[in-house]
Formats: sequence, C-alpha cells, structure tokens
Amino acid sequence: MAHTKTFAEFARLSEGLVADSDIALLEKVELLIPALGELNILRRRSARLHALQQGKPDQGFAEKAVENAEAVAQKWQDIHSDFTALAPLFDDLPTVETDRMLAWVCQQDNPVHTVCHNFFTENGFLSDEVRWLMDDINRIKGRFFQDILQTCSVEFLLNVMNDGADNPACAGFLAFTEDPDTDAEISDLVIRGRQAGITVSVYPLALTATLLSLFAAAAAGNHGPHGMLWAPYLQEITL
Amino acid sequence: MTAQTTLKPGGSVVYSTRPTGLNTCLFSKSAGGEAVIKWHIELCCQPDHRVEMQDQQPVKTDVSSGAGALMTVRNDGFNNVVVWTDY
Repeated sequence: MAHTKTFAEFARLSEGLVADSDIALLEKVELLIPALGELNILRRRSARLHALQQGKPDQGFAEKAVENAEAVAQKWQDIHSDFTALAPLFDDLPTVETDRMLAWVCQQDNPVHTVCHNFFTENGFLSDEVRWLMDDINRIKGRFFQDILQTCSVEFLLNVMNDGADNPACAGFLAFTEDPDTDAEISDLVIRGRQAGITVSVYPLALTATLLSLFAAAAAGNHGPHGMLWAPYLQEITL
Repeated sequence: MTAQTTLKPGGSVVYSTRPTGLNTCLFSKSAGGEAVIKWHIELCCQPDHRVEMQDQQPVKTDVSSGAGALMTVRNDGFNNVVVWTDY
C-alpha cells in the first residue's frame, strides 16, 4: 500500500515520545475532541443568535442567547480542565519531532491526515475549519512548536484563552489579560504568527491534532485498551 | 482610546476589540506619502482587510466585527503609519 511506509515512519517516530505511564492520559483526547466540536457548534449558534437578535429583537432570541452563553461558559470550563490535565504531555515532547508529526498530520497525502480530518469532522468541526488549520500549519511547514510557540508553555496558553464572557463566539481564542507583561507576550506571539501568515488561534486545534496523532500512533502500536476504537480509521493503514 | 502607535513598514500591533454589540473603530494615518495597512481579526477563517491612506489623511475603519477578539494591524506599505483605536 502506498501509504504504509509513511505511516510506519510516523509510528516509529511516535514510539517512545510518550512514556507508557502517560498513555492513559491520551485517552482523554477521545473526550476532548468531541467537547471542542460541541464548543464550536455553540460558538456558531452564538453568532447566529446575535444576528437574529439584531433583526428581530422582540422574539425571545435574547433569552436563548443568554442560555447559549451559559452553555459556552460551562463547555469551555470542561475543556480547559481536560486540556490542563493533558498539558504535562507537552512538557517532554521533543519540539522537532512533534513538529514533524504535526506536519504529517496536515499533509493531505498522509494517512494520518485522513485519520485526524475524519475524526474532527465527525465531531462538530466543519471541513472548512479543519482545512483552515491544516493550511495554516502547512504555510509554516509544520514548524508550529519551533517557530510560533517557542518559549510559550501550554500552561501559559491555557491561562490566556478567552472564556467567552464578552462574546461566546470568542471562547477558546486568545485574549488580553490586562497584565502588561502577559499582554506583551500575547502580542509577540500573535504578531509572530501573523508575520508567518498564520492565525495563532489555531493552537488549541493544533495541540489537539498532535495529541490525536500520538494517540492514533499509540493505538496502532497496540498501546492501551483503546486500539480497537481506532480500528475503523487505521484498518487502511495497518502496519 | 489606545495610545497612537507608529508602525514602520512591516511593523505590526495587536489590539483588543469591544464585546458583541459595541462598536470599535480603528484609526490610521500615513506619516508621509501613500500608505497601506492590513487588519485581521484573530479568529478562525478570517480574511485580511486592506485600508489605503493618502498623505496625512486620517482614515476611520469600523472593526466591530471583532466583537471581543484580538485584531492585528500591519503596515503593508512603504511609509510609516500611525494607528490607534477608540477602545
């Protein structure tokens, strides 16, 4: 099979990146991706409700918007908690290898791309949104951890994400904090991304795609009890 | 109102925008000659927006579509540009 060698290379690269003791953490990715997808649906609903309120202010859309905003806040809190639990995984990942994995995830002719793309689109993301992520990462040749995040830790990123209080449609994207030093670091990060032609807000998805690919590789290597979950995705690319 | 920032060619600055339902305006003024900036809302799937300026003529641009998101402004021309927002 044309793709087998590529995936074998991918799996070999992934082998050992995550300690066996941390494999169980990757199982949380199963929960994280559908939750991100649900947040995405709620964000789109928020924008739609706002447009409806503008056009028909007296038809109860304001109440629905409040309910939706509460759902966004709760969903974001859950995701933040899941991401925080997974953050230590990134501390030990070698940057160069992680970038190579992410680059493969975003290459359309790579079978790992298909695994990630299908899982995202089956869990609440539009194909356009996934393509936007992949295009951004491709634009920087996959060097997301090396060129964009650089010294930013995942913990830092999690602390500066918008909770959606001002606008539910912005939940999960970057926001200023009113702390000058932190905001200067956010500005530096955003500008570095823009100069490279990418929107740094891709990072929640990029991190998740990285985790997903690790999980897929781990499952392919029969790590953990969840290998079967991935069987439909991986049967085409069995080693 | 933010402080005025002078962007050299290729320079960028990041602003926050007001929450949903409130307006935010971006102001830009060339510091000499014709100039161009691009602004971009830092959310998924957003396009770049281009603003052209004549020498010393301030231009007001509605960036309320940011609705609470961050926005980058980049000097995409060959002359210095002064930028600020009303937020």
